[in-house]
Amino acid sequence: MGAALAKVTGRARDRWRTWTRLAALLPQAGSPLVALSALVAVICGLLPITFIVSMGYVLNELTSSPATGAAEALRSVATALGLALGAFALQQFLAPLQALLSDLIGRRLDGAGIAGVMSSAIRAPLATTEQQDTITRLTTTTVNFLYAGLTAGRGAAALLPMASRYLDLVAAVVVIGVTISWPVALLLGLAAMVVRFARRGSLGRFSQLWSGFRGERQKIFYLQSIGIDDDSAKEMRALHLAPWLTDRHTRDSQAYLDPLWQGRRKIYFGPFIGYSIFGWVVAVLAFAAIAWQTSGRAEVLGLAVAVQAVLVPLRFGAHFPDSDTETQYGLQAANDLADLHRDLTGPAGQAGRKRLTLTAPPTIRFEDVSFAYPGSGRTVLSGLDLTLRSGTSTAVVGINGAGKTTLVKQLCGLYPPSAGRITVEGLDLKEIARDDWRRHVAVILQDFVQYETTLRDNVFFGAPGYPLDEDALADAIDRAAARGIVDDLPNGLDTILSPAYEGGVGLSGGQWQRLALARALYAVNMGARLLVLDEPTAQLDVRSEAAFFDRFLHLTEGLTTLVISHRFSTVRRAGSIAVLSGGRVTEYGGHDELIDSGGTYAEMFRLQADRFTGEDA
Amino acid sequence: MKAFRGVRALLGLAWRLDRARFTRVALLMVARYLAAPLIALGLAWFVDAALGGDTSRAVLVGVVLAALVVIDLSFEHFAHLSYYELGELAHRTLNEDLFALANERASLERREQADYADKLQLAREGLESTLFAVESVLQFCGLLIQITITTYLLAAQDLVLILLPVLAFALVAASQFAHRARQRAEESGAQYTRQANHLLELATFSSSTLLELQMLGLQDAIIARQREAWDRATAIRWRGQLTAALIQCGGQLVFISGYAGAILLILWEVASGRATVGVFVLVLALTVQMGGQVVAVVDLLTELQRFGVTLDRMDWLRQQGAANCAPAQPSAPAGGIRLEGVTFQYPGRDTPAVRDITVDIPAGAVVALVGENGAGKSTLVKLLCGMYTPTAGRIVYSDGTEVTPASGNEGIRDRVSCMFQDFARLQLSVLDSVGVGDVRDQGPHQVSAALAAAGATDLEESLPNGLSTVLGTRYVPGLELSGGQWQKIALARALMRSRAELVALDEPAAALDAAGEHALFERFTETARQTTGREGITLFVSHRFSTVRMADYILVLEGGRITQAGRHEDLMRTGSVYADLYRLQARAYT
Repeated sequence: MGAALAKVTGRARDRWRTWTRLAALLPQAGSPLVALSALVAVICGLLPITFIVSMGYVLNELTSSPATGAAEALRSVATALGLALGAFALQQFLAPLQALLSDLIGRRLDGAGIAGVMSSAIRAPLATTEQQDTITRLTTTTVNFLYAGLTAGRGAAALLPMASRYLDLVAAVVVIGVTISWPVALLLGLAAMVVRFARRGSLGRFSQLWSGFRGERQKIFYLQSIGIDDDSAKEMRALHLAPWLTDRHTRDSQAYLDPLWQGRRKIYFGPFIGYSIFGWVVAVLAFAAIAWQTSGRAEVLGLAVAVQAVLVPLRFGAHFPDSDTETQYGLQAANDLADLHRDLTGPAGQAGRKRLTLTAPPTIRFEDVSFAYPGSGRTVLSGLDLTLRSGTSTAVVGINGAGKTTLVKQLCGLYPPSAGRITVEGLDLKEIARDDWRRHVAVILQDFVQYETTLRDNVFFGAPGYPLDEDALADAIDRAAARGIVDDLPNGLDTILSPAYEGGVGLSGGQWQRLALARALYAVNMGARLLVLDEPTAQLDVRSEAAFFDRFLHLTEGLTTLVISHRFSTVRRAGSIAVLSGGRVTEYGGHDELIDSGGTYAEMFRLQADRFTGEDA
Repeated sequence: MKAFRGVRALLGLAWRLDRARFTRVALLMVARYLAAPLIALGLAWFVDAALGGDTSRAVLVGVVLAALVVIDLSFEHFAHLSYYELGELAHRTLNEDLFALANERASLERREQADYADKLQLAREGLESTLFAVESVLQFCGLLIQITITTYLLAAQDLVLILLPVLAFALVAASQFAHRARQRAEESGAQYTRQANHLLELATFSSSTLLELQMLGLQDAIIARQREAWDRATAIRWRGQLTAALIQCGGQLVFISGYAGAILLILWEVASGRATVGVFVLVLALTVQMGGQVVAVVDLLTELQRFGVTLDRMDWLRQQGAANCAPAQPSAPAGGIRLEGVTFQYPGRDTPAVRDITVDIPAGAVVALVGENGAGKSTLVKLLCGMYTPTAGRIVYSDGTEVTPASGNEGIRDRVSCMFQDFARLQLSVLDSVGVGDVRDQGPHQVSAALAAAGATDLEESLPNGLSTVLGTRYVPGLELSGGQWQKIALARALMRSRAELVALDEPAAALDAAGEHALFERFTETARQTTGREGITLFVSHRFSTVRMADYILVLEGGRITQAGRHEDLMRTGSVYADLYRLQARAYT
C-alpha cells in the first residue's frame, strides 16, 4: 500500500520535474518578452468567459426588462454589450499575436539550446565524442533544430497557450458553479481533467512509440539526402541511381510505416472509444442537470451562461493543436538534451591547471607512451619514445593505420596516454591547462574543415583565443601563398566561401589547402610554437607543393614542427625522421642517415625514387 | 490560386494512394464537421424547451446534444488515424518524385547553381510538412461544409446574416498578403539559416569536424558565429511574421464589425419580442463558430498555400533545363573517344573552365590527365562522364554517339564509369555503397571483385559484419572510415562496371602513399593490357608523376587548354611544362 503510494507520488514528482524543466527554460528568452507573452496568455484565457457572461447579462436584461422599446432596451445594456463585443474582437486580435510571440520565444530558446549543445560537444573529452553512438545521439538531437522540428524551445513556448486553456477551464467551472450548482461544476471539472490526463497519457505512449522508430526515420531521411543533397548529385546522375533509390526508399519506408501504423491504432483506437462513451455520459448528466435546475424558472441569465460554459469542460478532452504536441515532444527533447549534456560532460577528469607561456619553441618528449582506444582494446601506441627537439622539424612516416593520427591527438592533449607521459619542456602535458596548450599549437588536420564563413574567419579560426589581428592575418595569407585567392574574390576577405550564399564563392581543393595552411600560420603569428602538419600538401598540385617545400624551412623557422606525410619530398626536408611501426618508433634519424642504414625507410624511398630515376633523370 | 491548387493536388494524391482509407476519412470528417452547427441548433431547442418548462423534452434534446458534442470532439481523432497514414504515404511518394526531378530533369551545371540548390532544399524542407498538408486539406473541406450549413442556418433566421460569411473574404484577402510577407522573409533569411545549420552540423554531425573544433579551441568563435546567423534568421522571420500578423488583424477588423452588426440585429429582434432566447443562443453560437471557422479556414489556407508553394517549387524544378532526352543509342562496338573543340563555361562565370579541346583517345589506352590546380581537370572529367553539356564542340565515341547529359541513361552513362574527386560518401551497407556502381548487377561476388580491384581486400576482411556492415554513423552506429578508406570504397564503386568503355578516375588514390598509388595503377594497367578483348579506356587524374609516367598517353592541361599530349618519353624530350613539373617532383628523390 505504502509502496504503491510511493510509486504514484514518485511518478507524479517525475512528471512535475519534467514540466518544470521545460518551464525553467522560459527566462532564457528574455524577461520582457516572456512577461508580455504571459500577460497575453492570461488575457486570452479570460476572454471567452468574459464574453459568455456579459452576453448572458445582456440577454437577461433584454428579456426581463419591461418593454420600453427595443432601442431603449439596447441602450440600457450598452456597457455589457460593449464588453462582450470587445472581448470577442480582442480574442481575434490576440490569437495571431500569441502564436507570433510563441514562435519568437521558441526561436530564442532554440538558439540558446543550440549554443549549449555546441558548447558541450566541443568541450567534451575526445574519448566521448569519438564514440560512434555519441555522434549519432548528437546528430539525432540536433536534427530537430535544423528542420524546425518539435524542440524543447518550442515546447516551452507552448506552455503559455496551454496555460490560457487551463485558465479558461477554471473560469468556466466557476461560472457553472455559480449559475448551476457546485457539484455539477466540480463533476464537469473532474471529468475534464480525467479525459485530459488520459489523452496526455496516450500521447506520451505514442511519443515513446514514435521515438522508438527514430533509427528507421533517420535511415529514410538519409536516403532522401542522397537523392536530394548536393554532395551526391554527380553519383546520382553518373550511376543513374534515381530508380534504385526510389525502390529502396519505398521498401524501407513501408517497413517502417507498417509497424508504426499498427502501434498507433493500438494506442489511439480502443481506449478512445471508452473515453468517448465516458464523455457522452458526463455530457448527458450535465445537460440533464441544467434542464432540471432551470426548467420553467425563466432564469435566462443562468441558462444562457450555463449552456455555453458547460461546453468548455466538455471540450477539454480535445486535442490542443497549439500546445499538446509541442509540449509532449518538447518535454522529450528537453530530457534528451539534459541527458546528452550529462553524458558529454562525463566524469570530470583532472583537468590540467598549470599555466604555460612559451617564448621559444619547446622540446617535447614522448616517454614510453602507450595508448589503446577506450572500449576497443586495440593498442595503437605501445612504448613509444620520441623527442621533438626545440626548433627542429620531425617527420613521421609509416603505413596507414600505424597510429600517426593518434600521435597527433596525443600531442594536442586531446587524449591522455594510457601509460607513459608526454612532456613539454619537462612539464607533464596532463598538468598543463588545456587552453594554454592549445594556444601554443598550430595544426592542420588531413580532413581539415571547410568553414562556410568568410575567408577572414576561415583564417582567424586558427587562433580564436585572441582578438583578431588583421596584420598577422594578412601575413599568414601571404606566407601560405593564398594572397591570389583573396584578390580573386569579389568581396575579398569578407567573401563567404561557398557558392550557396549571396556573393559567396566556392574554392577548389588546392585553394582550400592553402587556406588551411594560412590558418595554421596565423596561429603561429599569434604565438603558437608547435606546428603540426598532417598531410599538408595532399591536395596541392606539383608546382604549389614544390613551392611549399622550398619555403618549408622558412615557414618552420623558430618552431618545433611535427609533419606527417606520405610524400618523401616533404619528409626528407625534416630535420629528423621517425618511422612508426607497430605503435613504436622503429627507425629514427636524418634522411641520409636512414638511407645509409638500409632499413624500411631506405627501402620505401628507393622503390619510389626508382620510378623517377629511370631513363630520363 | 496556389492554395486551391494544393487542395486539388493533395486530394487527388490521397485518393490515388488509398481509396479505402480516403473514403473512411471522408465519412468521419463530414460527420465531425456537421456536428458543430447541429450543436448550435440543439442548444437553441434545449434553451427554448427549458425556458418553456418542458423538462423531459429538454433532457431528450440534451441526450442528443451530448452525442453531438462527443462526435464533434472525437471523430476527428478517429479520422486522424487514417489521414496520418495517407499523409505518410504522400510524403514518401512526393520525396520520390523529388529524387526524379533533382536527378533526371535538370542538367548538372544547372543543378550546381545556387538558386537551383536553394529551391531544391526549400522544396525538400517543404515536403516535411506533407503530413500536415494532408490533414489541413481534409479539415479545409470539412470546414467548407460546416460554413455552408452554418450560413444556411443563419440565413434561415434572417437573410441579412448571409452577408457574414461574405465579409470573411476580407480575412482571406488579408491572409494572402500576410502569406506573401512571410514567404519573402523566409527566402531572404534562407542563407542565414543555412549558415547557422552548417556551423551546428560541424559540432554535431561528425567526429572528424568536431575533432578540429576541439583542437583549435573553437567553441566560443563558432558558437558566436552560429548564434549571429541564427539570430539574424530569427529577426528576419520575426519581421515577416509580425507584418503578416498585422495584415491579418486588419482583415479581422472588417469581419468583427460585421459580426457585431449581426449580434445587434438579433438582440434587436429579441428586445422587440420577435425572436426567442433560443434563437439568440443559436445565432450567437453560430456566429461565434463562424468567426472560428473562418479563421481556421484562413489558417488552413495559409498552410495549404505554403504547400502550394512547395508544389510550385517542384514545378519550377521540373522546368529547369529539362534534359531533352534523346532516343537511346544502340550500344556499338567499343572504340576510342574523340573530343572536338570542346569548350565549357560554368553558368554565371566569365571565362570557360575548359576551352577548345580537340584530342583523340585511342581505344584501350591508359590516359593520365595532369595539370595544376584550377587547370580544368575535374571539369574535363565531368564532361567526359557526360555530366555537363559542352558549351561548344562535342565528345563522340567511335560509333558517332555523343556524350552529353541528354544522351540519357540507356545511352552513354552505361558506357562510362566515374569516380569524382569529391565523391559521395554513401553511408549505406558496403554491399550498397559499392554496389550502386552498377545496380543491375550488384551481387556480393561483384562487390568483392570490385573491392579487390580497388586494393581494398584488407578493408573487406576487417568489416565486422561483412558486406552488410553499414558505413558511417548517420542513422546507425556503423563503421567510421578514414578518408583513404572512403576513397577505396568510391574507387570500388567506379570499378563495378567492368565493361565500361571509359573509366574516368579523378585523383582516385590521393589518400594513398605514392607506393600504394603506384601499385594500384600497376594493377589497372596490367588488367587493361592483358584482358583480351577489353578495349576500354582508363583515364585518371594524378599529381604523382611516378604514376603518371606509366600511362600510355598523357594529357597536359593548362588554363583550360590541352597544351601537350603524348607518351612520357616524348613529353620529356620536348622540355616543356610537363618535363618541368616532373623534374620538380623528381627532385625529392635525387
